[in-house]
Amino acid sequence: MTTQIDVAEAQRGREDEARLREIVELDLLSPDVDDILQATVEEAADRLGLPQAMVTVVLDQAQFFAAHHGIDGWLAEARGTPVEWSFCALAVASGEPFVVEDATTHPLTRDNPLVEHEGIRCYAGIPLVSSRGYPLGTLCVIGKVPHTFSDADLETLRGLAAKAVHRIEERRVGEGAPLPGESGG
Amino acid sequence: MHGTIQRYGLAPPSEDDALGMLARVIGVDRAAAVWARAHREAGLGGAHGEALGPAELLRVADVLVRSDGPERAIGTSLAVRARTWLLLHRVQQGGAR
Repeated sequence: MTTQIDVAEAQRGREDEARLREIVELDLLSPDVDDILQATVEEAADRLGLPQAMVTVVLDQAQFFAAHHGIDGWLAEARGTPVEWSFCALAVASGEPFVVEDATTHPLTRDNPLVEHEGIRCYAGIPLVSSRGYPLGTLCVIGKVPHTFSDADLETLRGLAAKAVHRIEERRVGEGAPLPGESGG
Repeated sequence: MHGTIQRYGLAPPSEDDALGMLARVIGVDRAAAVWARAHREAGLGGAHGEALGPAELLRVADVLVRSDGPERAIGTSLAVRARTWLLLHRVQQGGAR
């Protein structure tokens, strides 16, 4: 018997499929995306005076680093993390910028292994949303010491995030996922 | 043998997790067919036998990553989780920083 929960789960599955199809059609998982977005992440780190910046793609069970600057060690080699450690997933879920000035005291991040063992202390991420309305990931900056982000900092990041989406959209392949709210089939 | 990375609280990915990820997004029947094909193309045989470890799951994920459609995204997800576990396992064993 189909239950209300089954229907809700099936609907979430269709929404996830459409969003993931959009990510694939934008070719965001290709190795060459790093080159295309490298200037943007370097500019983000430079203008905000922080050592690390990334364009992340938030998938169902992991975040993928589509482009990164200043990341090294196992994080660079893995090119992502499990989604439950992802600060960016919180920005994508809310659809709003996510800002953490001191990750050791923020209730959503203080127990995160990336804070406990990799030294992340501050973070600001702006959601990247495709022209078809799908949340893809974020443009984010990260630091190893607590940091206060000004309105001007966030405005700078918003502008760079818009630039990143523009560059991503230029590479769109395929027919496109259905618009959110349309039947995903 | 493939236990949780205690320091990070990270359990190894499992075949059931991977199939579940695929099934939730593309449906149970399609997921089973896609998984069987990827399993075979990864050189792991066509049938399900012993549980796959993270290194074998990474090989299957690498096949999925070469696919079109949402299974490519699921493959990337699985690859990141498997690589993370393998790299942190190496760190835990003292083989890297």
